[in-house]
Amino acid sequence: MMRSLNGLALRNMGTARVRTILSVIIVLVGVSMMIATDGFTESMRAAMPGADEGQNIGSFVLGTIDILMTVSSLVIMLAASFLIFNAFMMSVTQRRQQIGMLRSIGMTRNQILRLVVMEGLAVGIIGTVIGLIAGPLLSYGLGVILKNVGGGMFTIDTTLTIHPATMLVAAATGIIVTLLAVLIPAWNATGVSPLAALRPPQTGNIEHSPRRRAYIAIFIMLALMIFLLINPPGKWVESPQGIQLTLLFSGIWLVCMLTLLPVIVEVTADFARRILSKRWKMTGRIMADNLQRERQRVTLTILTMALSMTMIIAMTGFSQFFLFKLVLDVMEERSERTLYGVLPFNMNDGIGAFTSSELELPDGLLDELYSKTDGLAAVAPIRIAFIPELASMFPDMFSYVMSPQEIQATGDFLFTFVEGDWETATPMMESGCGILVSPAVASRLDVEIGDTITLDSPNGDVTCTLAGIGTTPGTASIMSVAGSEPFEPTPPIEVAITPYVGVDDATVEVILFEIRDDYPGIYVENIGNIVTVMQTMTGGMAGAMNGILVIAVLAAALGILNTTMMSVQERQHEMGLLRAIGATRNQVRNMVMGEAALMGLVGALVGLVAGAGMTIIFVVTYGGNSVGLTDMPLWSTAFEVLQPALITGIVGLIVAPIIAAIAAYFPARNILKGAAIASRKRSA
Amino acid sequence: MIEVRGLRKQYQMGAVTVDALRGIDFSAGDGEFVAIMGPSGSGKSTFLHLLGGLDYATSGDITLNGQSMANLSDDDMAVLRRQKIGFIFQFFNLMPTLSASENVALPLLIDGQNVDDYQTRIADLLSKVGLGDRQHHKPDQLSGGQQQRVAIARALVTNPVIVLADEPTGNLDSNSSRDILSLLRTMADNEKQTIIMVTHDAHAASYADRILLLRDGLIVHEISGEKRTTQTIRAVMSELEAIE
Repeated sequence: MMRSLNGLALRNMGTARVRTILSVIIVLVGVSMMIATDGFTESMRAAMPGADEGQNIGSFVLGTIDILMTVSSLVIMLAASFLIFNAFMMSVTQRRQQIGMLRSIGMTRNQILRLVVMEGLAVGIIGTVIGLIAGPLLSYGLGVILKNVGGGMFTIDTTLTIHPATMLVAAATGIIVTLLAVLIPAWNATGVSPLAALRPPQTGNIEHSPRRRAYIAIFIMLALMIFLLINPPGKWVESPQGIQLTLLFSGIWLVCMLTLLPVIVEVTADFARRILSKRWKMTGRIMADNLQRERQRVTLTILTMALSMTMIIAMTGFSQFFLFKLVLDVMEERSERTLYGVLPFNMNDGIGAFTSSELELPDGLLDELYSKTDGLAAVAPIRIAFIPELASMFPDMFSYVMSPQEIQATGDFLFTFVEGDWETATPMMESGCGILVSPAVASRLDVEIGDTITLDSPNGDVTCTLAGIGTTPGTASIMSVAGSEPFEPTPPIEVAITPYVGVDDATVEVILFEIRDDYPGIYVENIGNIVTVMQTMTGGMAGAMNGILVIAVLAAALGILNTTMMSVQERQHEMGLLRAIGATRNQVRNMVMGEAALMGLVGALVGLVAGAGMTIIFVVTYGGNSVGLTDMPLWSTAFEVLQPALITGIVGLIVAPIIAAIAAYFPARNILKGAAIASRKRSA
Repeated sequence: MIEVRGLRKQYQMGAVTVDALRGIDFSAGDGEFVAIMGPSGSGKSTFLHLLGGLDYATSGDITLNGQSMANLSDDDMAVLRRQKIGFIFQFFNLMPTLSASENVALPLLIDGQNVDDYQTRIADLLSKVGLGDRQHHKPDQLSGGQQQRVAIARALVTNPVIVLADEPTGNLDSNSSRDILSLLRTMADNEKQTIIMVTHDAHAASYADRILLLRDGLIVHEISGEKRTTQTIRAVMSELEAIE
């Protein structure tokens, strides 16, 4: 015998088993992704033992992975909140009569609120607990996938390191998100009149969206794009305003898309009605009409899919722009002049290179390079130091430590001035601590050329002078050798060799290969190869990350499964009626699956437009000023960056409706089991 | 004992004010079985909702064993419903997740009672409605008639002042209907339970002691004593509908 109302909440969960399971699954996916993000990046970091410099180099990759996975887990948590919100809203709607009965036999509004919140809390707790167990496993699984998909580029430590703080944050997020998602449905439940017990259950009719807000949204979106076309901020904006403006415009774009969504659903349904009713007659028409019933529920389901797609497309565009256009393509352009890297690791091992190497040049190598290439090539040993104030893209990104002569020896590969020149920079860098930084770092530090700045070092404060602003590989800052000791720079970890003008590259190459053969573990690569390997590695990483982001699409598919399942249950009577008047099982099933496919299609379409818009906004607003690429052709870059994002989006347009239709197949099949009369009986 | 004085209910439908009840006076004593009939829109459902504290009257008052229902807050009304009123619905409205005995115990649970103290009463009630051997069955394992019997037991478990039944046989076949009506009659006679039932069915109404006929929000006719035969009720109803 049940002894408290909490028992009733648990029994309700048992009845709506599939809804409960789906809600639990999505919470656990969100929680486990949050944990996996931490565990996975820790595993990669742990795979680079004992070499701070290796970790600093790898921080570029780890930082990117961390951002992508954090965004993924946040989007999944958002999808989870939508799904749970939808599931509980539908559950409250479906149970109106039941809640009305409970009210009529004396349940107070508070008791009803507690009943629904208890159900949500139970879902949140179960999902979170399983998520806490699944998180480390997912972390391990992702590591294995990336290790294999990344073509050997990634080395993962199989020892799991998960911070207790991350577990706590993930657990709190899982439960809080669930509770927040349940709150509005629970509040709605308290508004159910006891009279609902006396009325037969009703299903939703076609609802129309207000058009005025949609017109305003379209106007704002058009105005924004016209503004970006006429006066792209990327041409004039400086960091950090570039980021703020990008966030502002992206936010405006997303809010407009959100406002537009119900109307897009309605317009698509109208359009689909015309096409589908020609192809599938009444079944097609009902399929399209159903998209306009229960607008809030359908819109939220589509929004979940749209958000996942937006994230994948925007992230593809973002990584294309950030990693390729701002970093690797710049390196590629500057690798026209032959430059060799003498490295203590094999570039082809990818991130793994940093795991097995000490990142130290053997004794005598540097001297031999100087002596044997004397008169043929410039030798530039590259040291790095960890100076947080000078970090550019990520907080733990390294800075180069080189003399002005060594930098110049590489031509314009290591540094190109946007402001200043060698004439003024060289004395500053020779007389003490001089720094060369990207415009973004200069702006962040609020310094101009010639200004001094006090930097923290392990050995106390050091006053440095800003010697120049410009572009560097990977946007890393450069500090002069003079005055760098307090920052404890590494010994040379690699050497850049640039043949002098007029010297045959092949002559230098032969000498370098001879030296290489005398030093086991030393590799010689020309810059073209180095950039190609880095591009492959980055491309592989972006691809693998897209794979991870697909989890968000699958989470959205769970939402569609849930919505379809509940609306199928709600419309049992209707379906029974259709069967009774002669619709075949296939017709009704196709109707349900078609409706879900339409939801997937609209979601993917909206995601494509939203993601493409965000990519354009990002490129055209942020531009290349922050890294010194002041002459970047913004719109053509935006379209270049958009191409791979669009390909991803088009794949999404094909895949999302298929996933949605497959998700809908099971509830449709279950409801249509047996004879026509059975569907009607079930609704009684 | 229930007493109704000058009960009025107005609804606002857009710009139009609808007078659903236009001043009803009525009382029913312990063990009395009253049926309420009337054409569609006569106000019988509104009357039942107000009697059950499911809705608020525009004016007038209802007293249950001397306690006025006017000016009660939403929560106080919920407490009144759970302690003094029993409901029987047309669609049974049982919790599908709960067994027959748990459904019967539901109002006690809502009231925060220790269910263990009421095991005997629950078992007795289920025996009285003929489901002594079905205590642990879930609603989907019971027929429509049996589900309605569980609903009757649930309505009686708190020993309410009145039991309100809204078309209790509207969803049942004739055999089950007869059983349910006989059961309600027995409850009124043997348990001295006041029962007020809204129905469209003249045969069902004939089980009651008194039949109140409503039209346009007023009690326009009352049938009692020997006159309460199915034929008479049908004839009066036909007259009322003809006037419509």
